Amino acid sequence: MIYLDNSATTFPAPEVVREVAETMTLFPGNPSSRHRFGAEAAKKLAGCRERLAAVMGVLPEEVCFTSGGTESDNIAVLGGANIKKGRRIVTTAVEHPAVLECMKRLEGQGFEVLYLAPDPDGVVPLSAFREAINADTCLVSVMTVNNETGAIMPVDKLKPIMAKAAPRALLHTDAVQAFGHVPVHFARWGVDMASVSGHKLHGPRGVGALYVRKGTVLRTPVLGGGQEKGLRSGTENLPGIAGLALAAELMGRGAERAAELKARLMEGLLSISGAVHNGGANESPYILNVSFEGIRSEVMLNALNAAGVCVSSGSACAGAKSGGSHVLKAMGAMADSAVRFSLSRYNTAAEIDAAAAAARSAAEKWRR
Amino acid sequence: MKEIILIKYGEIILKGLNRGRFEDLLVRNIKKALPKECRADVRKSQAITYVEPAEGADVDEIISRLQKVFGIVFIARAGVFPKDMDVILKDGAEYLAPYMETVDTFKVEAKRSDKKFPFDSPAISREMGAATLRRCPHLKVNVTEPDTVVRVEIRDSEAYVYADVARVSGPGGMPTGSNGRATLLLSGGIDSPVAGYMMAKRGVELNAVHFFSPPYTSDLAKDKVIELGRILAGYTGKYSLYIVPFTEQQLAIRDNCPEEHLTLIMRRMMMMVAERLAKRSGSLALITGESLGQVASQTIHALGVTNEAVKDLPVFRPLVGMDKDEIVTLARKIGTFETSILPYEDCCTVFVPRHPTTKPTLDKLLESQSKIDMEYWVEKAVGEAEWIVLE
Repeated sequence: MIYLDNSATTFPAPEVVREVAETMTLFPGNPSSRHRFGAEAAKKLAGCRERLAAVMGVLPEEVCFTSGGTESDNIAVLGGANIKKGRRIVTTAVEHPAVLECMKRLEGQGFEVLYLAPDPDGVVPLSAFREAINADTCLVSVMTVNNETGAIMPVDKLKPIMAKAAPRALLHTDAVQAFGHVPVHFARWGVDMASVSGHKLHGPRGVGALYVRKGTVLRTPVLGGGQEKGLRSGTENLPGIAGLALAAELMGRGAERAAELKARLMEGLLSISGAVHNGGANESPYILNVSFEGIRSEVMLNALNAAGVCVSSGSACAGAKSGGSHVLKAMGAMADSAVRFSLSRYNTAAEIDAAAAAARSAAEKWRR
Repeated sequence: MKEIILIKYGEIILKGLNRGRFEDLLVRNIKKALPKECRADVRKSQAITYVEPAEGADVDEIISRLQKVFGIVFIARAGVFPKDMDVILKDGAEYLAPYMETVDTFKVEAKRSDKKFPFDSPAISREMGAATLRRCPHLKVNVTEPDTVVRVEIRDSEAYVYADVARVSGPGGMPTGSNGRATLLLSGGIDSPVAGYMMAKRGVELNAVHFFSPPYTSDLAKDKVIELGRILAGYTGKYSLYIVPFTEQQLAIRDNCPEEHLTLIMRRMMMMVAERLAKRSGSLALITGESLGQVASQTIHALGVTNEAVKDLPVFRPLVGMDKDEIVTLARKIGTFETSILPYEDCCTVFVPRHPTTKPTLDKLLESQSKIDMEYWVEKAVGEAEWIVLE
């Protein structure tokens, strides 16, 4: 099987699997306990926090461990919206449901949410943010990399706009598809909160982190024993956290190789007649979204699956819903025939060529 | 104290000379429904069938399995006692007590198949009533409209005591296999599993045919159908499912026949394939989930045109007169609904005409159908069918 669905989830790195099992065995205590087992676990936890912070380029105390990207997004968006600072929230129409569903709830609570539309290349232009962000804005939430198209949003250029128009507003980015994949500089960009997830980095599922810039005050929706400085209560998932820290370190400089593979895949796919790239130049090297004219997404997906190639139509999180992707519709693309190929460091050039060949023969056979 | 499960059956005792055969079938089916790990013995003696759970067996699990065996009308847990009147009265009343907490009035009915037992039925009833009242003082006797009936059965080797409140309903119907075998056209939808259930309930042994059209339908859709088949197998015991690849046939129809007749030609072809597979597997009828007027292909005209494609076998359409909500209610009851509504394409919805005809005539349809070589495509489908056993 050729696995090209790494935006849905990645396969865990063998080193990570070992690290998780070892941490489970060697650090069974609760980090909050006062005895020796607790102290050892607390020390391990602190070490992991430092290591992840180092990869993220932030301070250890700015890292809040969570149960994954969705929880990070929920804490950031629900916790960061503050009606006393302003009624307006600015986001994009192509966010992950973990953000969009929070926005729906906030609308019900009296917030005015602006969903900015992307250009046909999938990127929301800076001019749209300039128009939308005003003095009544309390929160701006924009993903760094879109999960369906790989489009890279101008998150690095938002803070200067906000500094003029809405100096008290918070900036959150869902960096789940970005962290470890494209260069991110949360501190330099002036981002206040950034969500990351373990299982998109060959790490474990059920673990993620939220970067929270020092001094940022959030009203977290997760209540309980006050762990993670009160932002994310619940006994820390130490094996998962250890796996996440190691996985982040291992991501290294895979992007160059991914870019080569993506170029190769693009060449193979776009020479198929009727194939259209849904996106533009400014994209993650790990994601390629292509529509095949005259073939519904599911048909291409089933045909590729039968040929041993695993891909997605749109995002896996929308798998059961029908009607095509909200992201591609917002871009004006052929949403019902879109297929997402997403790469990892484990893919090879031979796999890419085989996948492109499988797509070609499926397209020729099943086009209506 | 020992407890057994009494099996009561309704319709099959009406079958006169065939009674023995029906009972044997029922016993066979009960044995199949209770594999070794249930740790229960199935016995038949003196025209009564009962299940004897081993020490520590999961009686609730056994009963829930029995509730899926067609032919059983109800299932009663009963205490087993030695044929000593004092023991029956004292221990019997003790055994009944927890069940009687939920009722206010009762009466006793006794049956004595061992006529040498020193007390006759009225005497047993009287004594058991008194013993029950002593043990459960909140009760009153009501012989005309009791909340429950306490039953005492004196058999050759032992006595059974139970209350009607402690019994549960079986599915009714007739034992699987008592009415031959039939082939169900099983899609992934709500209707066809219910149709299969209804005919199985009448004693029909099933097998099934499913058409799938990769890559227009996914492996998940096929898995869903297999799961539906498994749920049905919980009622019928194991059976065969033929899985027929149908993509090329659908494409041939789409590419060559008039659009408004696509669905009907496809359904005719499915019936022809199903009939041939049915005959090959010893089936005596086809079963479909068609319901009159539900969709364009199930109008009275459309059913007539579809039916004409079947040469010899009768086609059973148990849902033909049911409303959709009645079918849904039944699907929920038998446990297929949640699986049926999983959102995967099935092959019937792959190529849907924009304006399907609702009043087709046979000669127009035959003319449309003549654009392709039906015989070739039907035989190809039959030849490529794979089968799996569901249990």
